[in-house]
Amino acid sequence: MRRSLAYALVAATALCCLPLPVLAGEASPADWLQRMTGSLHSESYQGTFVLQRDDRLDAIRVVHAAENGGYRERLETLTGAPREILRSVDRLSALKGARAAAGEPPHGPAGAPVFLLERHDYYELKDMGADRVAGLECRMILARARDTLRYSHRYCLHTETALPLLSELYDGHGHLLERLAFTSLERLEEVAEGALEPTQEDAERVEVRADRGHKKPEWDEQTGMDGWHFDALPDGFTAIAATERPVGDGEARLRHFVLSDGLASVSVYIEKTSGERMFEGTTRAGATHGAARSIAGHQVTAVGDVPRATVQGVLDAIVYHSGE
Amino acid sequence: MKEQVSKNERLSALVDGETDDFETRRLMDELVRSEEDRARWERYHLIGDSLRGGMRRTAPASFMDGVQAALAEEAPLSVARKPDQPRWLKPVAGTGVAAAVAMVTLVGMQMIGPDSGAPEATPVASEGAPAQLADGIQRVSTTGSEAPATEPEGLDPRFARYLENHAELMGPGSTALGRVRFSVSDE
Repeated sequence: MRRSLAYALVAATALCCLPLPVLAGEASPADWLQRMTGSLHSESYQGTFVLQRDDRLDAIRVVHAAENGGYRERLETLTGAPREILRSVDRLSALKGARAAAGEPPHGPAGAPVFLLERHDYYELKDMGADRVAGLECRMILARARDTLRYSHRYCLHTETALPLLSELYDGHGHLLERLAFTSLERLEEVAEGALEPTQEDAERVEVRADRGHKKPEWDEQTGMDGWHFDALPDGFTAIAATERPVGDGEARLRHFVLSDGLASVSVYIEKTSGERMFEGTTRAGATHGAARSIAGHQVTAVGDVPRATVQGVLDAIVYHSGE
Repeated sequence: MKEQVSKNERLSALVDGETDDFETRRLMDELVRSEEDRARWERYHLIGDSLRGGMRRTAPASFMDGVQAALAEEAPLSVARKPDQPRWLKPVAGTGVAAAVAMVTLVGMQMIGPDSGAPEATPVASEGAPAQLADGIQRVSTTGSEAPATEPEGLDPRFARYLENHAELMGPGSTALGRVRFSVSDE
């Protein structure tokens, strides 16, 4: 009895920020994915995960402390060259990604992944039932691509916290492209200060603070930004973010757009460039494809964890009206 | 002057965005041609990844020493000691990087990957994949006909900075821990 009470308490705590259908016990796969987004910044934990890419496998130890809406963490490689990173991310920065952290209202654009996912059904979401990863109960959620413009994703989300204990990316042939899996994970009520202290002399320290420095981009659905916009994007993809910042001392601007179909993302970089740096073509590294071309004296490069045709399609969709 | 600088230093400078247009172009050409250079350049990227933009770096001055020790076969990277040199590609979003980003940073990019000239999956194949997934069987091998093994061609180095920056935002698995994590508006 006490046990079930305790469980109920934990569950209530974990679920307090969730939409009603979840509370009603009818968590859909989309609900699970939304919980996942929130869990990344709201949970404290320590553990080890492996990252598998192509023929390479790396193991990393992580201590993650959620605090004040932001978090601090220590990451340490257990394979290859010894590396250690201590990161701290303030509340604002964390919120930009996972606004579900403290039950905050949506902080990002309406194009935040989960909303997109609901609007554009280019994945078939499927609850594949209970499973177990790192000794923990988790729920296997499959986001299966309905076409070949995107990859399929599979997650096993911790039943209590929705932390992704396992996440995988598959191409259209069912071949695994990337896998991240925890081998051990322990939730922490409190993280001892010592656990966040560096153990190596050469630990790198990283601080992420909300960047107030650069201009807020003015994006318009019709006209885009500064003459740049997208026409006939690959099915399901929408521009969801745009930033720009000065490069160097001159007037040069680097523009960055992010497009998403709800799960996958493609970045588009646009910068005014001289002839020497111009290039065109396509490339690939692991699951990531890139394609580049020049438009009106600008280097335009699209990069995303999507098939080559999709990156190319995004690149082809970019339009520039210089007179505007 | 430049001729007296070792290849290591030149590649290191390239990784750190400290080369001018002409030198950049020249090195790129050399990278495209030389597999050995590309391998070396990749190793420097593993170092450079940890210094990447999008976040404020406050590493101790001795940071590079440790990395150098780990890469003992490499010549000293004097260029990389300069802490605040502008990166070739400035941090773009500059915000909202999260755990996944650091993972990428730690592990380094799988930069040199075969580039597939093969067409992407057919719809039929895409039907097959999830079926395999659906039975809950986890594949052990990551090699596949389409994915990593089709073409010897490496990553075009000219794309590197863009791939890095994108990875910073998205993280490994591209979505698992790194779904789009920043917004149009900025505080």
